[in-house]
Parts: sequence; C-alpha cells; structure tokens
Amino acid sequence: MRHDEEKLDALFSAYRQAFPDIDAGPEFMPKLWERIESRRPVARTWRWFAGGFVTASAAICLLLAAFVSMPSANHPVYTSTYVDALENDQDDDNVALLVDFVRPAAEEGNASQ
Amino acid sequence: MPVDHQLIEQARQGDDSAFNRIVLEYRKRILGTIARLIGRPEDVEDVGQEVFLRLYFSLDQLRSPEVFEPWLYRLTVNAAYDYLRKQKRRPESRMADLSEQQVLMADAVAGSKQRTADEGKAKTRALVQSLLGSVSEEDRLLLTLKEVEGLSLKELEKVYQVNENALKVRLFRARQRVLKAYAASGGDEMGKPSAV
Repeated sequence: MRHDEEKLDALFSAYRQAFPDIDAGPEFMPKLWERIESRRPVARTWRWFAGGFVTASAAICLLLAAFVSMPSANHPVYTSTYVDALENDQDDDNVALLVDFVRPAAEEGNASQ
Repeated sequence: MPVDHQLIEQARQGDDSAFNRIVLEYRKRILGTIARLIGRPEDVEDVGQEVFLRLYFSLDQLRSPEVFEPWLYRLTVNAAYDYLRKQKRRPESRMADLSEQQVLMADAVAGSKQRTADEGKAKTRALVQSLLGSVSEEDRLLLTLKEVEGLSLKELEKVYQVNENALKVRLFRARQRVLKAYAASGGDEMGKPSAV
C-alpha cells in the first residue's frame, strides 16, 4: 500500500510536468475583451435593477416605520375606557327603553312595600 | 508571483488597463492550472476566458487585495467545475453518428496528434485522467490542487473557505479512491510515470 502511495505521488508529479504552464494564443486577450464588452450591458442592467430594488425596499421600510411610529393619541380607543366606549355606543332610544323597563318594576316594588 | 496590491485596487475601481495587466500577469499560471484540472488542452483558453470574465465582473466584491490569489483560484476551480459538469451532461458523439467526411477529418486530426505528441506524456495524462475520473468532480479538483498544483492545506482552506480538518478528510477519502482505482488498473505495469 505504501509502495502504491509513493508511485501515485510520482505519477501526480509526472502529470504536473506533462501539463506545463501554457501561454495563451494571440486571440486570447481580444476575445476576452469581446466577451467582457458583450456582457457589460447585461451586468449594468442587472446592477441597475438590483440598486433600484434596494432603494425601493429602503423607501418602503422608511414609510412603514414612519407610519407605525406616528402618534395616535387622539384615537378614541386609547382615550376612553371600555365602559365609556360602551356608554357612547348606546343610542338614546335604547337608553329610553331601558329606563321605561326599569322604572315600572321599581314602582311596583315600592307599592308592594 | 503576486501582483501589486495597488494594481488590484486600481482594477477594482474600474481601471481596465490595470485589469489587463493583472490578466497578463496571471494568465499563464491560470491556464496551466485549468489544463491540469480539466485535462483537455483544446478547451483551456475558453475556460480561462471565463475565469477572467468572472474576475472582471466580481472584482468589486473582493474584500481586500490580500485575499486576491485564493479568490482567483476559487474562481478558477468554480469555472473548471462548471466545465466538467457540462462535459458530463454532454453526450459523447459516436463515430456512427458522424458523416463520412467528419470521420476522415477526425482520423486525420488523431493521426497528426499521435505523430506529434510525446507518447510518454500522453500516457501519463491518460492514466491520471482516468484515475481522477474515479472520484467526483469536486474531489477531482481538490485532489489536483493539492497533489498536482502543490497548494498547501492553508491555501486550500482559503480557496474553499472550509476548515482544514474537513479538507483533510475529503482529501484522504479521495486519495483512497484513486489508490483503489490505481491498484485495480494494474498499477505496476501502467503506473510507471514516464520520463518527462
């Protein structure tokens, strides 16, 4: 096994030498710049879109933050108690009916005494 | 040979001539690495251009010029990996599918290659390629960077951004698989590295 390991190391080293560093052909740089130029508008559009998306997200966050932190002290829910709210909710007719219903009963009670 | 940090900084800021100089500085080494990673000399320039293209459009993401080299290696490994995966998906064209003229041309090319290529080197290449074919693309790249390119574990740690112990385990397993394939291929006869 040890022998195989050593042979494998030698094989890798030979492989390294069988593939020496190679220099590019004369067309390498022009073709590279051609590829860069052809992809540049796509990259620019993508960057513009990504930038716009980030700006829009930040604006929405700010708007939401402003909306949430807006003072809401005048809202009736926060100024009146539950009982007050119930009382305000009763319309006059209901109150009058309630009074009519309660008063005769009270008068009957007094009469029986 | 590491390039000047100032040059990298200039390229990051969009200076195309600085970028050009970086490409010229690293081109030879990167193309050699790609050749050994993918094992197909005819596609090396194409993959090399892809590496430098990715470099051009992602230079602004580089945190600092100090990590430029491992980062360039990372781009190289990724481009080689994409290439190997694409090659795996692409079905090999068989002789039966080719026209008579294409077969004649293929024979002529193969004949001229055989005449010119150093047989010993070709044999070594073929053997190592077949051995590396016994592991996954990821392990093949990792093993090539370590054993052929001679990158240290510290350097590999920077390239892969993985902890050293995890790398050691992956390397050990990949090497064991290659050793097994080497033994199965009759290592004694075939494995004699050619004099190069």
